[in-house]
Parts: sequence; C-alpha cells; structure tokens
Amino acid sequence: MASLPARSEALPRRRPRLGRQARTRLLLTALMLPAILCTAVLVAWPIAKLVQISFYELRLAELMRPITKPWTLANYTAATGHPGFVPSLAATAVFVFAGTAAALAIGLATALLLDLKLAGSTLFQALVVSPWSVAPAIASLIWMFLLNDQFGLVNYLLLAAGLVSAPVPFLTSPDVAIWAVTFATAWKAYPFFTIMMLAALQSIPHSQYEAAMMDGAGRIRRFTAITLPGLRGFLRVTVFLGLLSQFRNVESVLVMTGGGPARSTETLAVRVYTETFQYLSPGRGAALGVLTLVVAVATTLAFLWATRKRADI
Amino acid sequence: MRRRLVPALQAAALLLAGLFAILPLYWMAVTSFSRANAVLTWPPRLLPDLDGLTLDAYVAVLTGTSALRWLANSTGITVASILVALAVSVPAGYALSRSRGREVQMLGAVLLISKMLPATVLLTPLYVLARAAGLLDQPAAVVLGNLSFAVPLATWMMKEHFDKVPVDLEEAAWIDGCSRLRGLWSVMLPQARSAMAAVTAYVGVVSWNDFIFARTLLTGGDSTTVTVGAAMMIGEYNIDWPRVMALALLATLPVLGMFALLHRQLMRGMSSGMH
Repeated sequence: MASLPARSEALPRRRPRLGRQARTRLLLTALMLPAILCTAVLVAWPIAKLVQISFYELRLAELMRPITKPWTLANYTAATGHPGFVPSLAATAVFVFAGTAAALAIGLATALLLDLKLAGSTLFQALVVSPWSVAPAIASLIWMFLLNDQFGLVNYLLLAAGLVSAPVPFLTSPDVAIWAVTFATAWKAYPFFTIMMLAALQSIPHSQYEAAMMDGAGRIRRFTAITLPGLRGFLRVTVFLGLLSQFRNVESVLVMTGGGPARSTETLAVRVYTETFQYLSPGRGAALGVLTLVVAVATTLAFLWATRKRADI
Repeated sequence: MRRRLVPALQAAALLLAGLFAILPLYWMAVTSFSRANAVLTWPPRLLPDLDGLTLDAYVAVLTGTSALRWLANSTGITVASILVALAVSVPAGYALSRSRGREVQMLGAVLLISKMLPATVLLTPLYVLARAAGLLDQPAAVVLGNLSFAVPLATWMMKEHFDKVPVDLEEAAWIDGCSRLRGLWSVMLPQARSAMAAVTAYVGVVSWNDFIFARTLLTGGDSTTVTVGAAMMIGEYNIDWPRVMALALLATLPVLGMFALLHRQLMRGMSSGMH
C-alpha cells in the first residue's frame, strides 16, 4: 500500500516518453532475438557443455544420457600427463608461429610487389590471391600430391635444383611432416596477408614518399622510415588474426596426415578431435578443448590489453 | 645499369610470386586431365603431352562415385547457411547499430570468442545437440555448425554497415508515415545490398569450404559434402590421383567463380577480418 502513491505519481509523468522508447527498445530486442538465440545455442551452450564433459569420464555413447558418474579431474591429468601432450604443444608452436611467419613473409613480399603497380598488376593480383579460394581440405589434397615422395612435383624440383640428393619423405617422416604441413598451410593462408598489407600500403599517403625523396632519402631509407611505420597498426592486427586462424585450423592437418605419422602433426586443436573421435575419449578431448580455449582467450586478452589504447581493432 | 636492374628484379620476383600461387592449381588441373598411369611417371612432365589429355577422370568421378550427390549436398548446405545467416544477421545488425549500451560490447566479445574457437572445440557439443535433435546425418546439422561461426561475424559486418547509414534517412521515412519495421524493409534494406553481398560471399565460402562439420555430423557415403567426399577418395589403397584432382577442381570452381564475381565484397570482408 505504501508504495502505491509513489508509483501512481511517477507513472503519468514518465509514460509518454518511456512508452515510445520502450517500444523502440522492444522492437530492437525482437530484431536481435534470432541472433541471440543462435549464439546462445551454437556458441554459449556448446562451450558450457564442453566444460561439463571435461569433468566426467564418459564414452561417446554415454554423452546422450544424463550423467550419473561423479565428477573428476582425471581427464585433465590424463590429457596433460599423456606422453604425446608436450610434443603436441611443440607441434602447435611450429604450426602456429612458423606458419604465420611464412604466410606473413610471402604476403608482405607480394603486397610490396603488387604495390609497385608494374605492368599486368591486376592480373597478378588475381593470380597471387587465388590460393585463398581453395578450400583448406582441397588445398591439403593438392599438397599431398605435390609432396608425395615417389612422384611428387616438389621432390622433383628439389632434386632437379640439386638441393636434395634423395626424395624427402615429407608426409611420412615424423621429423619433417609438421614442417611440410605448416608450409602447405602457409600457401593457403598468405593471400589474406597480401590483401591486408596491400590495403595498408595504399593507405600511406603518397606525399610522404615525395617529401622523403625531396630530402634525398633512398629506397631503403624510405622503406624503414615511412613504409614500416605506416604498416605497423595493420601489421599488428593482421598478425594477430593470422595467429588465431592458424591456431584454429584443423582441416589442413586432418586431411594431409590425420595427425600422423606417429601423432607427430597433432596440434592442440587436432588433438581435441583425435582424442574424441578416433580414440573415443570425449572427456579427454573436452579437457584438451578447454585448455585450447584458455590459451586462445588468454592470448586474445593479452593482445587486447597490449593494444588497449589504440582504436584499430 | 642499376636503373634497369631493379625493375627487372621486381618483375622477376612478381613472376615468381605468381608461379608460387598458381603452380599447385596448375598441377591439380593438369593431373585431372591425365591418365592414371601418366601421373606416376618419373620425371613428372611439367608441360603435359597434349595428346595424352583426357576427360576420363571426370567421367569416372561423375559416374562411378557419388560426386554429383556430394556437390548437390554442398550446394544445398551452402545456400541454406547463406539464407539463414542473412535472415538472422540483417535485423540483428540493424538493431545493434541503432541501440547503444552493453549489447554492442557483448556482440564484440561473442565475435571475438567465435573467431578464436577451433571448430573441434564445438564439435562434441554440436554432435550431442545434433543427435538429440535427430539431425545427425542431416544437412541441417552442418548448417548449424556453419552458423556457429557465420552468425557473429555476419551480424558484425551488417552492424558496421548500418553504422554508416545516417539515421536521417530513416527518420525521413518515419515522418512520411512509415513504421520503423517498414522503414527497415523499404529504406534500409536496399541500402544494405553491398553489405549483404559481402555476407553472402563470406558465409558462402566458409560453408562450401567446410570439412570438419560435414565429416563429423554426417556419416559419409551419399549424404556427405564434396570436400569430405574428395578426402574420402584418399583412404583407398591405390589413390587414383587424376580422379581426386578432378573432384578437387570441381569443388574449387564454384569458389573461384564466386571470387571472380564478388571480388570486391570478398576483399572488403577480408579486410574486416574474415578468413
């Protein structure tokens, strides 16, 4: 009773304004609803489910039933204590860092070349970017064939150039396979860097170069004093996105080697798959999945924190 | 001397870059038009024997395997993913662009999370979901998988577009007696054509290229997509490379076509951070 007068006092004064605002808000929320539903069901719920699964020792078939077993940390100790765990971290590091470095190097070089606008640049731009349009799984098939140790084109070219004396067993030797897979992935990944770097190069005002030339700056000086600083912001974001995408990539490895030989090409993200669907241990797979998630979130937060004052992401 | 050397070196480097990009694709095409035994000869012939070229591999793949079904499945999944992503992301992108507050930050966070998640992390839960919903081995399951990554980014792309459309434009329509929803439909939607093309291109490429969802949520055989189908041809004892490469080429052509058609939109999508 006591609260009633207060409400009846407030209502008539606010209603006309609030009514329209509330209706607009309702409409906007309704328009957002399908997207919210999608992300709730397809992103949020799966993550929650993954965390839950990681705390139970289940077989694939048991996933469908209500869980009656007690929760345990066994999956985490089994996954991290596995003799293959540390090697898989090393494989992940090679795949992510060497893969991104190679893609960046090729991407930056091609972008600089295309930015020169030599004759036929548009044609070359289309050519240089074309690997992007090949599906990762299909690119893997092509590279499996190219890297074949009996009749592969890469081995032929290496032999013909005298760089090796015998065909390299790229995909069947545990020491070489991770590098072969990484390089093959870089072929598919570098056009993204080309396009981003080209956009960055074209955003550098031409007048800066002209001013530097007036001052007598040479080619190299212009590159280090104008081009590189002009690229920095783009470079930071592009490398970050490249690292994330390489970290996420599973198709390339799964198709080319299936994680082998001797599980030598199992990156963290691939291991989540093989543990769950090949070794049929969803709990261990989920534990690795949670670890993967933690690594990704930590890296992202660190990146955002490091670039917090900049507006370019 | 130096004046001539530098341009020559630049041209040579550009040529080399072009070769590096195109050689694997060239090799795929040449192999797909070769006979199975011609592929296994050493040394490999860089320039193919023109008389030896044949369509045998294509005929074999299209009549001897379920390749046509796989291509049809991929097409269906891709079209459905595009339509649902557009239907969900256009209204949401508009609403986010016109509302201030926490929603926008939330979307940013969701987008970031969905961007760094490896698909394998979502795979087990989505497998559980698909099985519970009776969608296992149904194309719809793969569509859901694609949407888990497509919806956040598509929504963000639409929001960024609507951010650039002045509110005045809409307000003029409201004054003319349009309802807000009507204004969205008849004023904003035609404005958003290029952004919708970018979303179409992005979701189309991601869905067509998907491997991991189709591999896990479909049982293989006739129900699977072309990327998985092509990879399945590797499992056999004797890999018939011309056939594998023929199917690989067939799987690549639609994306190349889309690339040629939507070149600009894809570039734009790429520079807003898609892969």
